[in-house]
Amino acid sequence: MQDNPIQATGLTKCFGPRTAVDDLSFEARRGETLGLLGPNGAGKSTTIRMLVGALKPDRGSIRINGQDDPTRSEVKRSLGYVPQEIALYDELTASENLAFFGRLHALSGRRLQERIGFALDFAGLADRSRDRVGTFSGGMKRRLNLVTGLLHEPKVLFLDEPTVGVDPQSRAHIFENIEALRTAGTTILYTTHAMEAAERLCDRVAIMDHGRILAQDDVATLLRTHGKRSEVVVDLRTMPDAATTARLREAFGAETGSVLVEAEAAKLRVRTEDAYATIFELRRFDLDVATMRVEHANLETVFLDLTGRRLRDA
Amino acid sequence: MTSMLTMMVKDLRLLLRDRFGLFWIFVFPLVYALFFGAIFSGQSGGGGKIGVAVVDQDKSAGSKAFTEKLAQHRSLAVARREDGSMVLHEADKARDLVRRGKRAAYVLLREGFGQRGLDAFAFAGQTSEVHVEVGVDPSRAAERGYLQGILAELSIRHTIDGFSDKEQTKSDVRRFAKRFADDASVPVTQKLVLSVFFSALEKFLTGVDLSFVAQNGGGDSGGGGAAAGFGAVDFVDVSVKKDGPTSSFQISFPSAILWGLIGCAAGFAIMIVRERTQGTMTRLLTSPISRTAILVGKGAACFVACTAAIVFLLLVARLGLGIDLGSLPKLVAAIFASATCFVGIMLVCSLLGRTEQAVAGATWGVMMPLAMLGGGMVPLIAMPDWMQALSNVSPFKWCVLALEGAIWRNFSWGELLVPCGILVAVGLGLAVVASLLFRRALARA
Repeated sequence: MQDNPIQATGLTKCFGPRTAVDDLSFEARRGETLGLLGPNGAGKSTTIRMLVGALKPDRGSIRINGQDDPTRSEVKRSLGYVPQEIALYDELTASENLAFFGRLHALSGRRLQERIGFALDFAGLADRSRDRVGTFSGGMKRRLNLVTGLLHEPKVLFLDEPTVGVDPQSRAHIFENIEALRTAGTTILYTTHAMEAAERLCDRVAIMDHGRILAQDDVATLLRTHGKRSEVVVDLRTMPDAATTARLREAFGAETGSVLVEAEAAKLRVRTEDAYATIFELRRFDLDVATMRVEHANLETVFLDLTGRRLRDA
Repeated sequence: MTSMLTMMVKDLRLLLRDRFGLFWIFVFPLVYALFFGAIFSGQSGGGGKIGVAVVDQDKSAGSKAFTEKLAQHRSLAVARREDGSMVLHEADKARDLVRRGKRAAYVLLREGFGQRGLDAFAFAGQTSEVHVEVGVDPSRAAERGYLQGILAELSIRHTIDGFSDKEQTKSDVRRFAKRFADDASVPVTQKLVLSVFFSALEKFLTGVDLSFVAQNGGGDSGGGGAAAGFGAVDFVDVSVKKDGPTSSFQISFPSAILWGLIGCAAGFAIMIVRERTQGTMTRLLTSPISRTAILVGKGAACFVACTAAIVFLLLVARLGLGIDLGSLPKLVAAIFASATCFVGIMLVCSLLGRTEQAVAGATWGVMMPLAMLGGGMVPLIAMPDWMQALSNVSPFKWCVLALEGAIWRNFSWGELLVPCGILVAVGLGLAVVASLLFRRALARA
């Protein structure tokens, strides 16, 4: 416990009558990537802003690298923060942005130039260093946003939804960057509402909703514990009539919600522990099927299991 | 300290790349100053005429006729009443008008001007008495020379006109005859000849009709050159005391500076709230720099920009228009105090909303009434008394007053301390308030 670079105990933050973060406790071990997975408004960003000292918690305690006040300069020098917003100055060039934030972290002279060069290479933006950030694409800004938080080589890195709204190519680039940082032994706290990112990048995941952590463990354990059932997804050309829908529920719906008929999308979802038996069984219903596929358990189904809602709908 | 300088340099760099912001800080105020300076100049300039105060101590028919000639001259501006009659001043009043820069010169006709008649100008070089006095600032050499020429021209016209008055001319002839008869230095034979000449001249004048002289000689003689020997004017140096603006631009530039400062404060206020909406503020807060240092850095950038805006406008005024900027040390004090005040205003305005639109609206909403009240639209000097009293609540008034105090109001250091002290106190007070509001705003974000 003492060695864990990020420790949060009983963190609580209210904005007026609304409790954004409610008695949150977790820790990230040295060198691991801990994911905070949850829908928008779950309290992920508020949590991370408290951890980096940008927001004062109403209750609870924080320890970063063994120190309990994240607003102290020594603590700030040891952590890196990549906010969800593109926290860059559009009117400055990429180099000027990096130089400004580097100087705030006490970098100067040759060392500063070396780190700027590294950051631009890391982001794949070396050839755009003299261009104003305002002329960059969304993906390029995201990459620069990420490396700006790495300039001073922090031991602990806080990434708040670093791939929101980027193209697949830039997302892949950012994922590779984060994997490289993992390999280098950086402790990372990564917030996301995309389960693919959490599954790919995180050693452990804490699932958040309404300001609380519902479950936290490594991905395999979470899947085993909360996401054991697969889902057969059938895309239909025409929706089944009410009688057929009732028979479907009767056949598969011992538990409420195990059969979902999405009328708007002309889609049928059947949760099951034996996907192939279910596919065989569905042939009896004379459905006008366009495509059929099996979705195995993932963090999405874990969230569904924990909250009764889908992550993307929450 | 390094972090604060880094913040300041970054903000100034952002400002330099914001063309719209630069327009409001540098270009608009300059256009304002030139536009209103030109308008006010047109109202008070008298169409390029030399403003002259006239004093008639002689109060004779001759002096009245001469002052009318002065008033009618195309190059002179002499004040008239609504009924068209000329405004004549007492000597002290006329000197005071010149001293305060209200008139370029005064022309004083001393007692005896009319009695001397033709002798008053034309032969004055031969006498010890001078009956015309002109007061003008020694630095206004051009006006002095021009006025000398005009007086010479008018003296010739006055002399020619004098010949049309037969009795006056005969009186003058008798006076000249007596002067030569009484002069011991003139030989007896010459006295005899001159006596015969003057006697014949008097008889000639009795029989001749001289009205044609007035008819033919009353026009513009353009006789400046004819007065080459004319030296019977006492020129008196009256140094102008600067207790009023000597140029309309001395009024328009302080008001324009106010608009530059408003543009500067609004620009930086929006820049701060943009940091919050864009997320860069969060990044700053997680950098090893204190919240106070962030505010001080931004305040320092605003201070430098405000100072640059003022200095730019004053340089244009001095180098481009030749405007007298008064006392430089006092001007420096006024600039420092004004910039300090606007830094405080900027910091508070930046916290009046959570979005750029909200802060922009609130900033202009606060500043416009203060500017209107403080001399940003109507110059303080042109405000009625009640409005001048009301304007005391606007820090902008003290800003204009401090600048005007240094430029043309000729404030002593004690007098300047009042507006400057108020400005610095308001600036520092608002900075403290902003610091507290900043912490609250960040806690709520």
